[in-house]
Amino acid sequence: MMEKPINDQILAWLDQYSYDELTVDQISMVLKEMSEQDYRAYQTMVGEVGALSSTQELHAPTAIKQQLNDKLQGQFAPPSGVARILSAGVPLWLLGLMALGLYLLWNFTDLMKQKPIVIEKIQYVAQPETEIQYLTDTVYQEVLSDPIVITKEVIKYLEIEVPVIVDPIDLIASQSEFGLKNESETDDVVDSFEGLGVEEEVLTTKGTSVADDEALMIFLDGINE
Amino acid sequence: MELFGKKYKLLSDEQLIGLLVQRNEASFNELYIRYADKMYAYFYRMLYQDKELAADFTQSLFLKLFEKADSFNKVNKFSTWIYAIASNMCKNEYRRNVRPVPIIFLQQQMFDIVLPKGPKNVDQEIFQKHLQQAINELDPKHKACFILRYQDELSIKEISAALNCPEGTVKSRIFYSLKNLSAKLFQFDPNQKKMNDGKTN
Repeated sequence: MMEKPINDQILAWLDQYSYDELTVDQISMVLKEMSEQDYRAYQTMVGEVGALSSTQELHAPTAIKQQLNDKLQGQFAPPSGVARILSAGVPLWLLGLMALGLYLLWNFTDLMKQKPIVIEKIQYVAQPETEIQYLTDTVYQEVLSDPIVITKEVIKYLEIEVPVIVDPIDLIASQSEFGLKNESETDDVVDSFEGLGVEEEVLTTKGTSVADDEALMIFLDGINE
Repeated sequence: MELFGKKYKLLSDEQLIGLLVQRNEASFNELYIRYADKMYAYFYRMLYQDKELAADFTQSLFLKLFEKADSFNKVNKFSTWIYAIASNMCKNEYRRNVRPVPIIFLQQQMFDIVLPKGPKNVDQEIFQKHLQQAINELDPKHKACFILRYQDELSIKEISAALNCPEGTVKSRIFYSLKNLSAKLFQFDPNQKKMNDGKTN
């Protein structure tokens, strides 16, 4: 049988249309090349060949891939980064779990390692300052030749301002109404009577002179003697 | 692995072969998944319906793919390229080793059917057996064109590129094959039978 060129369209129609689906123009073109019986026979062939391939369901045996893996072992570029971890056969769920664990750990330690807040709270600290005073007593000047010099040491306390770092938790506790109270502070102590409805008593009566108290005078005289 | 496997699934064949040039294993695996069955079936149909031979050729094909990935021309489609390699392998096999066409024992296989089927199915089955036999008997050039067109569903253009022959030649070969097959199988064609039965009735 000699090969002869075929109309491109007829070959395309064979794939798509049965003879009955062809239009009149198409049929006239087909009949120039072949008979109706031939067209039907070719069409059957095309359909059956397609059906044949679908019924065969040929799958490559798994052994092919295994042998390929053996032959190509070590010839592939080593995986990098995440691909390397994945190539190690670590299951994804485990990776996810590890990531979650790291995330939680990071946040947890971040909370724990919170840096102390620097609050410049002014604390008044008593700073002792010694002052030496020299006084000359002249009371016994008549008896003794030299005046007695009395040295008097006076210690003054000056309050100075010192900024301190306060732990935020302690600060919150001290500011909260639930915070610990100073041990020396009691509930029944009030700083002022203002607003408590207690009126201040003003003394208006005049007192008597000490010299008028005779008993007291006699007592004092007895002491002096 | 699924997460990163998905990434490769989204890539085109041409992108995957580009990665294979860099010896990327995942791209090779993805190409294998896409083409192993097709190539195995092609070799099976082309090479005497021998499963072992088809498996050997499929393996050799993927080894060639790995070794010659850098010779892929990006202008062409990968599917055309892989079919071209496969067709050349078949051609070489035909040159090297001419085997007799396998005979399908139709009678024996028919007895294997345990459950009775409708008359149409039995006719169709017989027809398909004869069709397979007739395809096996086709000249390798015609067989390649016919199988690539109707079983691997490549376009005329793709077949032309894969077999390195003009499109007109591909069409002629396909038409010749159709003509040849229909002439051989005329008596087994269930539709023709129907028509003949209708005429006699």
